[in-house]
Amino acid sequence: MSNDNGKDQNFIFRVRRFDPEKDPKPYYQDFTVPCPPGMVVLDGLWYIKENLDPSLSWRSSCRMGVCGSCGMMLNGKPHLACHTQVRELAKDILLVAPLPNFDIVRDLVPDLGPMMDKHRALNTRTIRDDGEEMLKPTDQYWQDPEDLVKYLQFAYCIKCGCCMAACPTLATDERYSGPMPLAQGYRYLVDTRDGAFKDRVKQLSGEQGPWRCHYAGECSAVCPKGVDPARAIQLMKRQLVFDYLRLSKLRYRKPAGLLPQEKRAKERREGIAEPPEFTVEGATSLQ
Amino acid sequence: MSIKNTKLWTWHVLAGLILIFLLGLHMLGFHMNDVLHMVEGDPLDWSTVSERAQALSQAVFYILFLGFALYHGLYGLRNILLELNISDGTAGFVNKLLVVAGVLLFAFGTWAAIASWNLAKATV
Repeated sequence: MSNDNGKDQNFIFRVRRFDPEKDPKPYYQDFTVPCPPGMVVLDGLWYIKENLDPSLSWRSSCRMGVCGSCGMMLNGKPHLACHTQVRELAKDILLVAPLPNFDIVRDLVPDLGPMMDKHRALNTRTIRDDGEEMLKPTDQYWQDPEDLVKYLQFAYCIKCGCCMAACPTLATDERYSGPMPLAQGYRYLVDTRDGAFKDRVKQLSGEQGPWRCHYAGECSAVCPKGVDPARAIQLMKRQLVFDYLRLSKLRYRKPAGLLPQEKRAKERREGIAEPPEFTVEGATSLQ
Repeated sequence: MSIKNTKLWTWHVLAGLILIFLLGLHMLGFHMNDVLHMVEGDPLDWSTVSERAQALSQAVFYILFLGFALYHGLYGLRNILLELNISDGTAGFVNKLLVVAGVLLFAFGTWAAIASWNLAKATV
């Protein structure tokens, strides 16, 4: 149980250090950090940098679990440092290490580049034929709430890499795309606004697909945003198998068009405020 | 590599389901006969075995069983080998080796099943 008596409690932050230009191999260094109740690990790291060792390196930005920058191993499990309270995780010693399954740039900074390359390689964006409408949208594409729910939770992914660090398959097989890119691949595979289902199926049927997944489920267990990549991967397999057996309706789906007239509200509902005027000259709005 | 994994994986799953069905028939007929009485007499008695071996359906049953078991097992072995972080060239060699091994084992097993069927007919 955490000590929430309102007083500071000293914790040992046992931080893995590594400077590839100086150190032959990584090592651990202890720092004593006074932690008041509610203090998150990221605040502890800032305390170390400001008071004990300014050379400590990590990556962070938003401080509120949105940007996905501060993923790291805390007491052996991937977490967001800004999202994890010290007293909830540790009694007296907190082990802080960079995410595994990535090369280390320095100290707690993993090289997320290969993950982003795999993400990009799966064409994780909406692909349609009406390029002009996409570049200069005149309206919004229409999507049923039921269709939105099919991929919504996967769209909450912040690309922090925690799932990639927890994946046992990725630990031994660097060619495996991994849970984050595959979950995002599924997110676009079932998005009714997308028009590249056949191309995606063809690509996912190759080595970039979900076939190496053992369904260990660790990716879903550690996701700080509650995304379930393991589920996305299993649903992706099901879509691909159904498509191979010609049982999938998505193959014959046309990408959703613009909002039809009959779906538009006839009048503006009461109580909804008008949007504010633009403060930037030349700015335009969708209808 | 241009291997269509969707096709391979789908057949891996289907082969597993078919194996459960075929193995179920085998178990029910030969090992649980005391309970279910699907075969007359003792299914492991020589005369029963000899009579059963003369049926073409028996040979077809074992050829199918062999084919699906080989595919299911070798696909699983391939997955294990490919996870050893081997190079693309080695992975290609593994794929070819497993295909050749599977075809040879299937040919040998098919020959054995047909030969035993012919032998059983000749001993009548």
